Amino acid sequence: MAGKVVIRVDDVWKNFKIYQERNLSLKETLLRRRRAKYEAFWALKGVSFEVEEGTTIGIIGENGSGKSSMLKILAKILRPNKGSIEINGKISALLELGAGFHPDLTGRENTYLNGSILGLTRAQIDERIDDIIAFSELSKFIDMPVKSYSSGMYVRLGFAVAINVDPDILLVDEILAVGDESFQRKCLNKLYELKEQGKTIVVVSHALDQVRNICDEAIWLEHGVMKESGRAAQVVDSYLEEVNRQEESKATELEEVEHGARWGSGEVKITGVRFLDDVENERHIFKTGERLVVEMDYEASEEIARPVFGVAIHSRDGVHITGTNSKFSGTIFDKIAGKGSVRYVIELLPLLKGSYVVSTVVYDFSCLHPYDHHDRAYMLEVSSGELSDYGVFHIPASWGLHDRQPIRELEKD
Amino acid sequence: MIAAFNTLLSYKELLLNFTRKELKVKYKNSVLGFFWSLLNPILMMLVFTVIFTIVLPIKNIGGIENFPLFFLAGFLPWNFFSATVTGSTTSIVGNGALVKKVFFPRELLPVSIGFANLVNFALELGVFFLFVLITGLVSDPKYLEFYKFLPYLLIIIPILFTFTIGVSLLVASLNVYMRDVQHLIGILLMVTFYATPIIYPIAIMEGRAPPIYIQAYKANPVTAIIESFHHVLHGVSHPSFNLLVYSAVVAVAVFLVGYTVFLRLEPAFAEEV
Ligand SMILES: Nc1ncnc2c1ncn2[C@@H]1O[C@H](COP(=O)(O)OP(=O)(O)OP(=O)(O)O)[C@@H](O)[C@H]1O
Ligand SMILES: [Mg+2]
Repeated sequence: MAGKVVIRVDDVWKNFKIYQERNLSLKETLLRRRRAKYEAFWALKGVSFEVEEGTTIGIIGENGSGKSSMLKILAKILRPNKGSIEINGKISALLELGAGFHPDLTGRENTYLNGSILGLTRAQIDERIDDIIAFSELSKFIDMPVKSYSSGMYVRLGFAVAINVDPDILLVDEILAVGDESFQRKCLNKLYELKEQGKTIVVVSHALDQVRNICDEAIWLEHGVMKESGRAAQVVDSYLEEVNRQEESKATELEEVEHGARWGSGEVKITGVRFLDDVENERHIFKTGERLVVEMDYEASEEIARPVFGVAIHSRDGVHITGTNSKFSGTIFDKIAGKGSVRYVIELLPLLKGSYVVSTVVYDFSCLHPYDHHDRAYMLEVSSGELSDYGVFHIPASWGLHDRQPIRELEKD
Repeated sequence: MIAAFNTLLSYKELLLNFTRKELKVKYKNSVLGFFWSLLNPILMMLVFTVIFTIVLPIKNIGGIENFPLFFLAGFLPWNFFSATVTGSTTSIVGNGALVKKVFFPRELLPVSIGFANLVNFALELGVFFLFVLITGLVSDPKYLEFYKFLPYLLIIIPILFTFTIGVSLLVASLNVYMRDVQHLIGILLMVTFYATPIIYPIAIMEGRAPPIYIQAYKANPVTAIIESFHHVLHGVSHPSFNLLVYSAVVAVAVFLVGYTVFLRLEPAFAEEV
C-alpha cells in the first residue's frame, strides 16, 4: 500500500518551560530585568514518522510520554522547537470535545460557533446541522443553554460537531472513552466509517484493544522518544510486554500487602506460594494460553494422612471462577510430614485479560476441617496476549464455514 | 504581517461568529439587554452633570454650553476604547481551553471583542443622535446643522478602532506572560480617563499647568481622538485636520507595534496560557 504521504514528521523536538515560580509579578520582572527562572523540559526528542493517505495510525505510550504534544504539533497548536512537519490535506483535531462551547449559549448556537472554529462555513453548518443534531441525539435539548447539559451530553454534541467537519485527516486524542456505552459504539462506528472512506486518522488512546483493532499502524512513544513503530498489533504487543515487565517488578512488592484472610488449625501450614511459568521463573503476570504452575510450600508439624490441597481463582469483582482440589482431581497424597511443596499445573491458562486473586488451601480428607486456608491472598494478573476475546474465559474453539444443504432437502431424507 | 492579514480574511466568518457570540453572551439572560449598555453612559452623564451644576457649580467651564452633550460626545468613544482594552486583556488567557485545544488565528479573540463593542458603540451613537435632536435643538439652533458633520465619523471611528485594536493586541499578548498586566490596565485606564478631556474641556488646562505638561497631555492620542469627537458631536464643526492626521499616524503606528508583538508572542500561547 504505497500511497501518498499525507503527514511527514521529521526529527521533531519540543520543549516546555517548567517554571519554578509561575506568574512572576511585574515588579520582579522589572527589577530583575529578566524572565522567570525555568527549566527546559523536552517532551519530544527527535520524533520522525510518515503517514500514508488512508492509514489509521495509533500513538500509544504511558502518561506524559508526549502523545498529546505530538498531536498538538500536527494540529499546529504547538510549534516544534526543531524539526519540521508537513501536512497535505484539511485537518481536524478532536483534542477536546466542545472546547469552544460557551455555557450561556444554546446547543444550536454553540454548534454554529464550534463548527466555524473548526473551519466550517455557515452554509456548510446549515447543511449539516440536522445530521449533527441527529448524531448527538440531543434534539430535545438543542435549544437549551449548554450549561444545563450533563458532561456526557456536552461531549456528545462536541463529537457530533467535530466528526461532521469532514476533514481529510482526523486527529483524535483520548476521546473515545467518553460518553455512555451506546455513544462510544456510535463513535467507533463513525471512525470505522471514516476509515472506509479513506480518511487518514491519527488516534491517541490508552485503549490498546481499540488501537489493535482500528489502527493499521502504531507508534510507541516513551519519554518523548519513538521507541517502536510498525504494524499496530506488533507495537501494542511490545508496549504491553514492557508494561508487564515493569508491573512485574512492582507486583512483587505489592504481593504481601494484598494478603486476605487466613484461617485453619495449623497442623499443616502453607508457608509459601509462587506462580511459575514454563521456564520455572516466578511471575505475577501471565498471558492467556501460557503454562501456569501454582507452587505451594507446606510445613507439617506432624504426620498428616491424606491431606487435600486446593486452589480457587476469583475475579477482582468477586466472581468465583473456579475452585478445585487434589481430591476432586483424583489425586490422593497418602501422607505428608515436614517440609515440601505441591504443584498445581495449568497447561494452558484459559483466563482472559484482567486481575484475579487466588486462594490456596489445605484441608483434611473430608474437606471439612481446614488446616490452613489463605483466602484470596495472591494476586494474579493476566494480559490477553494475542487474543482479543471479551470476558474472563477463553474457550479453545475454532471457526469454519459449513456448507449445509438446504433444510427442506434434509427434511425429505 | 500581510500574510497574517490574509489568514484573518480567510477567517472572517469565524470573526463574525466570535463577534456574534460576544454580543449574545452579553445580553443573554438580561431582560433589558442592550438598554443596560445605554444605562452606563446615561448614569455617568447624570452624575457628572449633577456634580458640575449642583455640587461643585462651575460657571461656563471652558465655554461648554451643553455639558451633557459634551460629556457623552467624549464618553461614548472612551467607553468603546476602555471596554475593548479591558475585555481584550483577558481574551487569550480567559479562552485558555480553546487556545490550547484548537487552532485558529488567536488575534480573532481580541479583534472580535473590538467588533462587538463597535456594534454597541454604533447603537449608543444612534441613541445619542436622538438625544441631540431633543435637547440640543432646544438649547442652540446650531444643532440643526448637526447631521452635516456626521460623515467625519467615518474617518474618526476607524482611527479610534485601529488605535484601540493596536493597544488591545499588545495587552492581550503581554497578559499571557505577565498576569499583572490586567491589573495594571485597570489602573492605567482610570488614570487616562481623568487625563483626557472627557469630564472637562481641554481649554481648562491652559494657563493652569506648565506648557510642557500641556504638550504631553495633548500628545496623548486618546486626547486627540476624543477632541475630534468633541468637534463633530458637540461643537458641530469640522474636526481639526492636524489632529486627524496626528491621531491617524499614531493609531497606525500603535496598531503595527501591537500586532507585531502579538504575532511574535502568539506561537507560544498554547503552552503559556
Ligand atoms: N504547556 C505545558 N507546559 C509544560 N509542560 C507541558 C505542557 N504540556 C505538556 N507538558 C509536559 O510534556 C509532557 C508530555 O505531555 P503530553 O500531554 O504530550 O503527554 P501524553 O503522552 O499525552 O500523556 P497522557 O497519556 O497523560 O495524555 C508531560 O511531561 C507534560 O508535563
Ligand atoms: Mg494526552
